[in-house]
Amino acid sequence: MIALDGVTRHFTSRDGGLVRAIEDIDLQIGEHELVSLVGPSGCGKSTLLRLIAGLLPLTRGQVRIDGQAVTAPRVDTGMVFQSPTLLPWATIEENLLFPLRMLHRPVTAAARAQARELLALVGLGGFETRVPSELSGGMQQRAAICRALMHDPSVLLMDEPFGALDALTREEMSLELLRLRRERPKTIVFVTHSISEAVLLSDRVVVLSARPGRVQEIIPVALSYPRRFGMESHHDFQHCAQRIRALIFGDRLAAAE
Amino acid sequence: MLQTVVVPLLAVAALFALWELAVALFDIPVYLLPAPSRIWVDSTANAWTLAGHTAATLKTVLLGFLVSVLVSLPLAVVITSSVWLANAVYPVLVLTQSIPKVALAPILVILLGTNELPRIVVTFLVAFFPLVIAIATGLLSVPGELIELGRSYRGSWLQMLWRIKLPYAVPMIFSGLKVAVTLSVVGAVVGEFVNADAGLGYFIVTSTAFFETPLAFSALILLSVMGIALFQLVVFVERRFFPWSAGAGQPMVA
Repeated sequence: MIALDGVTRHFTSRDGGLVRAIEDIDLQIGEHELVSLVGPSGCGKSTLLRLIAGLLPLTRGQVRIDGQAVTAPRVDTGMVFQSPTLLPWATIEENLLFPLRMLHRPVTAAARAQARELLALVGLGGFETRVPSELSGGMQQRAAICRALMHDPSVLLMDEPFGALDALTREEMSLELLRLRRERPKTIVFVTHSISEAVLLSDRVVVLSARPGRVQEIIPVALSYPRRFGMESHHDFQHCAQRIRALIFGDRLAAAE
Repeated sequence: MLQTVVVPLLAVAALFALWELAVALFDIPVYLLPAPSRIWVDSTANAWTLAGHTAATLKTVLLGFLVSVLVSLPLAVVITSSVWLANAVYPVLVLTQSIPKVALAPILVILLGTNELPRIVVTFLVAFFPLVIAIATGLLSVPGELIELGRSYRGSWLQMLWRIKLPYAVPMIFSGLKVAVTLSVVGAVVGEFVNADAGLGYFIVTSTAFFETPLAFSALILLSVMGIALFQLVVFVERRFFPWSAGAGQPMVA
């Protein structure tokens, strides 16, 4: 489905020095799999996501989706950012129709019906005619996720989508995503800095090292579906979380114990 | 209502009363400082003349403002689209602003003739710069993630401009328009001072030459009323057609 082959991204910093953001990453992501990218801050996980999205050029290597090399943003990927990035001047429904307008697809009655259906799915039924400023942060982010699904992409790329939300809303949104995934299976790459979020949501967690970002370890999460918050006390959950923590903090954690 | 309308009106009324009283009390001659009542009497007696001059000035203001908008919008788009073009255009822009427009006006008359054109050009030169800056700032203030969102849907240059950048810049475009419309009145009067056969600026020059000070004051009041009315017109257009912008922009005092 998604194949990363020696993916490398270097860039020149403002003072002229070479920054090695992402170094030689190999990764295979299967269809309808949810893979989280975690790592210390500045490890390039958001950069890696943008490389998969085709928003940034690669320095070396190749990203392939369904066998085709990614050189520019693709129609079959959808992005969700840390901020909702809704258009403040447009209603929620118009915001959902935005991808179709950008992609020159007809805005039909069926498309509007689909927008309403998606909104209802995430508990935003009846908010179609509101503008973003009338919605809470969590509601805005839900609308943004709906928007990313409007053109029915097979790949969903999420860049710390719940990072700007408060702790309670975050948990609610995690459950929402799990439910959404059951209803509409997608291949999802999920960048997060929350270890428990990564374990709860993912099939596999990719732990990146500090800059330059390399794959340190790929940790399969053996928890059964449907996932629930009660699982956080589960032995497998604890095991995964501990392992990720140990990889990210390394010696520092060992020294603290 | 009481605070926003009644209180300011009372304050202005009190100011005029004080003025009237002071002129009577200190016996100030009319050619130095006419009382408001005298200004009113002379204004109503010359209402048609004043209306004609007001119409002439308004025409110059609106044409100059229109040209400012028509030039500023594409110019701001050009400046924000390419570093090369920005580097080429920006110094020229700053150069035009460093020249005092009052000094430029007589030269423009030689260049363009004794007609409406130099007045419109001066109005444009006074009004367009803050507008270009406001629009350019607006276009550059679009958050990076919103740009990425547009790019992720393979947005073309035109789509990015039309569907994301321009709408996003609307609140700042309107603060630029508010400044520009007020400056247009200033520019038109400067143009009329130098060369005109009609208009409130011209009328002030001729009235003061004959010590008809009350009429000069009439023109002054009409000019400020015009400025306020045009400003409020821009505010109205923003509230009526871009309601989401009116709240987002910073409050400005008329």
